[in-house]
Amino acid sequence: MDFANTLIAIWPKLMKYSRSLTKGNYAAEDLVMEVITKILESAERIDPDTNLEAYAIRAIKNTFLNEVERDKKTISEIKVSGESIYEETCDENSGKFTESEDLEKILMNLGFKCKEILVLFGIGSSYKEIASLLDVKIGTVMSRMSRCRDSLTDQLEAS
Amino acid sequence: MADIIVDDGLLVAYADNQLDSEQRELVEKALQSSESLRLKLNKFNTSGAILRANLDVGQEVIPDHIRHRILMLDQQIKKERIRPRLETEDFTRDNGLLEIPAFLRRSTVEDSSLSFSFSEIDILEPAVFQNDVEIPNFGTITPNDSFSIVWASPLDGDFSIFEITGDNRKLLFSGKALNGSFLDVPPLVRVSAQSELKLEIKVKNSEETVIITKEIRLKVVSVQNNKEKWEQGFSELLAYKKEFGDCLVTQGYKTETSYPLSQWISEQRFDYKTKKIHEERIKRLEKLGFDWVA
Repeated sequence: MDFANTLIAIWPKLMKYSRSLTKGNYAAEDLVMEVITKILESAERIDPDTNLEAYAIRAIKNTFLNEVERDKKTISEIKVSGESIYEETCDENSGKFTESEDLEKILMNLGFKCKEILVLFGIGSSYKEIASLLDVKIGTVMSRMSRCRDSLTDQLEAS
Repeated sequence: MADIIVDDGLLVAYADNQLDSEQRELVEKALQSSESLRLKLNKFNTSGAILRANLDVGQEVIPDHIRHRILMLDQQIKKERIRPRLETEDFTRDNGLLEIPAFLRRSTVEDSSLSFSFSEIDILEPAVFQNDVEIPNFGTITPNDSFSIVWASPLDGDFSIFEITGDNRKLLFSGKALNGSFLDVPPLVRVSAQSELKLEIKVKNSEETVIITKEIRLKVVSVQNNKEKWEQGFSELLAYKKEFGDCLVTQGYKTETSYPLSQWISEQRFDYKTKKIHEERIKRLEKLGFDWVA
């Protein structure tokens, strides 16, 4: 597998996902580059049949969460819709958004899990791929997606 | 017809086109008989369209510098895997002070590994490097020292080094480099405090587009006092003559201790041609039967 060119091809998707975590363009780019570097460095140990997109997205999430833990950024665990989700409360947005900031704000209000699943869908991942990425059953994806879409609709109507 | 129960999960999956034909048929039957389901479907369709429109990856284009950085990174990592670690222990100091050539000025130093990299070389206007630089934990390298540059571009290319003093532009050295090879710069490339050195690097990629690399990794692999270096080369040539009876060293020849005798001889011929070699050294070499023409 040509890892470098595959990563270049999926870079837009990785950036969209990374932005959904970091809330900042520069931070998102740093996160994606860090993961790309890790993947290239460990390319020899990665199965050539691996779905690199899923692998990279998972790595971005893990790297982000590790960084948050390491940097002791302010993370508050809150309860939304009966689910425990993480919401990043530190604002490190030093870059500009290239997409709708309104939607960005709304997604942030929905909490981490909703934001994650909606962004993954928005960037073109199928339910099956999302289930694999989040390590949940496809039925869970469907029920979470419907709840999060309801919340999104409510927020859009209220805004 | 009996009511068919379609929950929101199934409906949103239908809206997002994630169901197989059998499931779709089931949902479509339910939709025919339920106004509330149709309304809900409309909401799912609307929110899905908003997400796709705002998160469309087609709007996101990878910038050229990121693409280039990933390709460079890939090449660099691959090269590090296959290239044995370069020995740098043969560095010697002269009274604790070695000066580095000026065009390494804008380089960064990776601790004691003595690696350097140019961070930004403008594509249209090659960078100009001036002044000396000191290597932390090591010292600086004198203009009399020789050095080699590791060409870490993923591409093959030509390079030239110009000395610029005022309006004068003088070509000091040029050569070709293959991916991962060394650009051996002879000792004549020296820097005076008043002059500037311009390193121009032209490379061609597979599409034959001429570009100038944005990042070059430099590594000083062998720095010795110039006199010591010359004497070492001379003694290696002497040993060669004792063993083989002449000074006809083949191109690329290295001694058993990996001393690049062929390269040293090329440097002597170059210095002779450009009248930069000392008279005494000419005599000593000619006494050995050294041929100035390759």
